[in-house]
Amino acid sequence: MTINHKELATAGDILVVDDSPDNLRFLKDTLTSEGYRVRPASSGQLALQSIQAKLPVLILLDVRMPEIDGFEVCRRLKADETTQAIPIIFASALTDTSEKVKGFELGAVDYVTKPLNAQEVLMRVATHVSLFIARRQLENKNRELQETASELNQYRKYLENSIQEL
Amino acid sequence: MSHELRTPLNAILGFSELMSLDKSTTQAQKETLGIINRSGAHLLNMINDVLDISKIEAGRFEVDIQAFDVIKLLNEIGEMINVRAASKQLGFSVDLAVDIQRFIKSDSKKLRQVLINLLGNAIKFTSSGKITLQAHTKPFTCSDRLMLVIDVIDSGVGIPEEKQTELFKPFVQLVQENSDMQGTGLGLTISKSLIELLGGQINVSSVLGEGSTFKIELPVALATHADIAAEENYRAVKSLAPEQPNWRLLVVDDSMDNRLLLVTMLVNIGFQVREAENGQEAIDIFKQWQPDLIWMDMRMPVMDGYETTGKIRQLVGGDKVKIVALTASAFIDQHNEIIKAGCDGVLHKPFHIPEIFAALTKQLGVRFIYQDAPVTATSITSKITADMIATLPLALREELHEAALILDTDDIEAVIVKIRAFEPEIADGLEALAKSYQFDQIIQLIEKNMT
Repeated sequence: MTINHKELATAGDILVVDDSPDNLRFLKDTLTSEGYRVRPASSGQLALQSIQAKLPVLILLDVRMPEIDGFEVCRRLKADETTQAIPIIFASALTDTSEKVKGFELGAVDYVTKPLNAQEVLMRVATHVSLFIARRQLENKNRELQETASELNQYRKYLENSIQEL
Repeated sequence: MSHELRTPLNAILGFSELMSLDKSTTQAQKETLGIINRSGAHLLNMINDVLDISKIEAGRFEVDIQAFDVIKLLNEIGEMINVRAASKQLGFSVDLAVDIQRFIKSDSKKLRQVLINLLGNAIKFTSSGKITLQAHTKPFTCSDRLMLVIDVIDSGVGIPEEKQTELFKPFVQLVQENSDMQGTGLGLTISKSLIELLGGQINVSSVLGEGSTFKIELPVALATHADIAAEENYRAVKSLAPEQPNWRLLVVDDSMDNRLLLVTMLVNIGFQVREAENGQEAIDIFKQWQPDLIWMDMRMPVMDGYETTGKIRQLVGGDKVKIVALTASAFIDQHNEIIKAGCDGVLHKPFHIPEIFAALTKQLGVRFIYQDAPVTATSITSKITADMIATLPLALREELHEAALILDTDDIEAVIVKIRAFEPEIADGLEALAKSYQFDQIIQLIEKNMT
C-alpha cells in the first residue's frame, strides 16, 4: 500500500486521549509535524463529548485514565452506531498480553505500548488512516455502483414497457 | 521471598529517617544518617530489581515518571560512589555541563539504579586511575523534550570488542575467577532493559587496557522547579493542626520494630496511638476503643491482615473505621486484592514518613502544621472564574465553547486572541488552561452561565 501523506493529513482529525499533559503534547507534536490535524483530550469524558460534537477519523486512546478509562471509552463508542466505525488505537504502558487481547476484543484496530516511540506511532497512524480512506472510497464506489445499477434497472423497465406497448 | 528481605530493611530505613528528623541530631550525624538511608534505599532498590527481573522477562513492568532535580540526583549518587572510589584509591569526579537542564521528568528511581550499577561496575573493574560521571542535556529540534546524555567513563581493564555485545545478556560475567567481583550477573541486563523501557538506549565503547565508556541517551520531558518543590514541602510535618478531633489510631503489626517506628512517629506528632501485635488483639482493642483508623500489616501469623480486616468490618462501627494496609509485597497486583478485602488504602513497606501523613489526610482529613512554612511558588496562572467569563460577549463565549468542545487548538487560540482585546486577564487564564490541555475546565466555566 502506498501512502500519500497529503491525502492522510486532509482526511480528517485525529483525536488523542491521555490524562497526562506530557503525553498529549508529545502525541500532538509528533502527529502535527506530519501535517495531521490533532485534537487533544485530557479525559475519557471530554473525549466522548468531543467525538459527539465532531467525528474524528482515528482515535489514539490511553488505557489507564481516572474515572472513564480507555476500555470504557472504546466500549461506549463501539455501542453507538454513529461512532462504531472510527478506528481506535490503544496506547498504554501495560504490556500484558491479556490487556492487549482485551483491547482487540473491544474492537480496537491496533495497540502501541508506552513509552511511546514517535516513529512507531506515525507508522501505525498512517496505516490506519489510509485504511480508513480506502474503506471510505470503497463505500463511495459501492454507492455509485448501486445508483448506476438502479438507474440501469429503471431504463430496462422503461424499455420493457415500451416493447410491450409496441 | 520479598517480605523476608524487606522487613528488616523497613526498620533500618524507617529509624534512620526518624533520627534524621530529630532536632537533637547534629549536622554530622545527619549526614551519616543520610548515607545509611540512601544506601539502605539502594539495597532495597536492588532487591526490587532482582525481583523485577522476572517481570522484565515476562514483559511487564511499570514506569513511574515524575519530576526531579537531575543535578541533585547525580550529586547524591556521586557522594555515595565517592566513598567507594576513595576506598580503592581511585579518583572520582562528577562533571556536569554548565547548561544542563536541572528539572526534568523521567523515572528517577530507575535512572539512579542504572547509574549506580554502571558506576559500581566501573569501580569493580578499575584498579588505578579515575572514574568520571559526565552529563549534559541537548534539546530536540522539533519538540520540547530533551535528550539527557550521561557517560560513565573509567580507566579500567576495558572490554574486548568481541565481548561487548554479550555484555548485556543475562548472567554474563566477563571475569569470573576473581572472588572480589561477585555479582548477580543481572546488573547490565536490568540497566539495559530499564533504559529501553524509558525510551532511551545504552551503549558501550571500550579500548582494551585503557578503559570503557558507557553512554546513556535518554529522552526526557522538561519540568519546572514548582513540580519538585511540591514534593519537598510535603516532608516536614511538625504537629497536628489545632481544632481537630482527638484522632485515635491503632497500629497492628507482628514485628515490634515496625510497630515502634510507626507509634513513635505518630505519638510525636500528637496522635493517640495503641498497638496490637496480632489480629485477635486488634479486634479486642477495636471493640473497646473504637479507633478512627487502623494501620494493618497484611502478613501476620495466626490471623493475617485480610482476615482481621474482614472480621472488624462485621463489628459495630466496623464499617466506619478507616483501614490502611501495610504490605511488603513488591507486586502492584496485590493492591486490588487488599482493597477487595475491605481496606481503604495501601502503603508499601518500607514507607516514607510523608506517605503516612498523606494517607491520614486522605482517609480522615487530618490537617498538619509544617516545620517550615512551605514557600508558595508565585503562580503565573491567574485564576479565572465563571463570573469573569460571563462578562464576555455571548458570541465569543459560544465560539470558545464550540472550539473547546471540538478540541480544536487552533480555533481556541484564535478565540483567545479575540478575547485578549476585551479582557487580557481572562485571556491569560484561558491560555494557561489551554496550554495544559484543560479544555474540560474551559467548557465548564462557560457552561456555568449558559442555560
